[in-house]
Amino acid sequence: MLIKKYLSILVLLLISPVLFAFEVGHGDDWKWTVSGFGTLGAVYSTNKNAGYLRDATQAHGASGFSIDTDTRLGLQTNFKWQELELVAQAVSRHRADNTYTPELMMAFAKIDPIDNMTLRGGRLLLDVFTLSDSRNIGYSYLTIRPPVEYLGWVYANYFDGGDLSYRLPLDDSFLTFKGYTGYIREPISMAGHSDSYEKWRMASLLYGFQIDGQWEDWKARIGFVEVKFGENNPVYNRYVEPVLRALPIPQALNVANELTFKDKWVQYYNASLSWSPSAFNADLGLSVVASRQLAIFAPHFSGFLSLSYRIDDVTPFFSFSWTTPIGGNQINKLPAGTVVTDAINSGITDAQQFYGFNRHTFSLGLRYDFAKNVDAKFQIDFPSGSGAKNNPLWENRNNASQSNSESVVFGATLDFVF
Amino acid sequence: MKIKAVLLSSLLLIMLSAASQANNDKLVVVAHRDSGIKQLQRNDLVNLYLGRTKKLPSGITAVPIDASADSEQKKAFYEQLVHKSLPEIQAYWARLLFTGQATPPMQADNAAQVLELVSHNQGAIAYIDRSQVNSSVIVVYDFKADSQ
Repeated sequence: MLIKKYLSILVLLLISPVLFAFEVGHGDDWKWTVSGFGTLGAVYSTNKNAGYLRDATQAHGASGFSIDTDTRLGLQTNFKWQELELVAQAVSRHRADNTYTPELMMAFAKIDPIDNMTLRGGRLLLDVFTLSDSRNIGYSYLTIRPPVEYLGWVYANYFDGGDLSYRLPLDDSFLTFKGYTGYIREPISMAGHSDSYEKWRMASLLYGFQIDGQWEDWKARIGFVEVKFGENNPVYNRYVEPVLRALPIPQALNVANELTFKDKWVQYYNASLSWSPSAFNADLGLSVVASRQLAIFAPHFSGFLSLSYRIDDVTPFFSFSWTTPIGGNQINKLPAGTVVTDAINSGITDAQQFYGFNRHTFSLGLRYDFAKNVDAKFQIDFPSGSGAKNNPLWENRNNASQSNSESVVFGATLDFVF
Repeated sequence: MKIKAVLLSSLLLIMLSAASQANNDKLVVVAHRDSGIKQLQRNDLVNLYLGRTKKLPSGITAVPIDASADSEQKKAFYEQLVHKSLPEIQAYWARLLFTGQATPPMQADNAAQVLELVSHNQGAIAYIDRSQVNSSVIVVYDFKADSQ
């Protein structure tokens, strides 16, 4: 069964450029294209008690060998008629329900109302941090996967709404201003503490803006996004809140309110800098995620630094990424002494550890552009940090203990675009 | 022995650089005779070929034309313009295309097709070998002049 599944994925990935890519048009009047991208990836993680996750939207991680972590296929269609363009994209990747059912990542209309201004409306990729909107397009970046500690816990890939960008060419440089707003309706799969998973439909309102600058060999970006959760964690709704609200303890109601996500805001601050004079490339990305309202969540400072040097068709690279809490996540617990209150307090402790996690990863690897529109990558990652049991960047397996937070992860991918 | 190796490597680098320079010196950028432009600045070319701007300085909608095959000419063009290899350019366009921001330039298979497209499209610009320029187009940028 598994062999059949993987064989069919492999065949689909290899024949997709032949099967799907085409372009038709009529001069400047209209043009219709179908294109795509894909990654065939294999991962081996030495940690047998925790599954290595590419990002927190994956419910199942790699423990031992896996091709599910990085493998994906995307198909996109663009239809352009005069100034109007319609774009749709579906991506197939391993989901929490253990299938590769395609998901609609983009579906929007685009128009330039005036020179240098673009307005898009519909389903758009979420551009919270550098690389967050292109994280499925392996061919577009250097490493096998975007830095997990920096991007891995951006829970959503897309939002439904609109964005407006304005490009300002200056003498030797270029500025782009972008603002956006909408709703995140993507169901979030909560990384398994068991084989089952719970979909959390956050239905979150968001707004954000960013400024990108380019001059000579430098690129820079600063941005801010605020997200308001529309729903609570379903596990909390089903099992915890009813108990707390039924408890005849004055503190229980306060604890219930502190544990909710609904109608609370989270702020995402980000900045990035890139320097790329000829063959050398250095990228630095920094972010702070914080919430004044979510008591359970510890503010986090995350980032990555990657260095690379291109030698003909081969680009070796080094990368370091991290995420660390910068402040506490204090919640008043219930008075101890009963089975129920002790169980709830234990759950609160687990949740505090979960949202106060830390991790860092050193990575070494190389990218080999051996043919047009195709590359091969090889990478070794050394993740380490707080216990896998309460860390959203690990899938907890076998009720893993606090100490199981390290691994050596070997990866190889074949990326292509067509 | 070490000094000999260093000298030999340096000589090789100079020769390679000279070869690359020779390739760059052959390249010019051409435009339609009625494009409204007489000359493009290097920044204009960068912005047009990287999808940052969509209009020529004259206000006409630009149609940058790229080579379809990965030729030495195409390699030299991007190396000289933005110091990037062809895979880096392809990766750049993959990001813009598959995040819905922009689409890559139109492509032409050979010099004859380039001249046909430029001479019949007011907003078209393209890079070709200077020896292939004819009277149907005008030169708006010369890499040789830029390198001096």
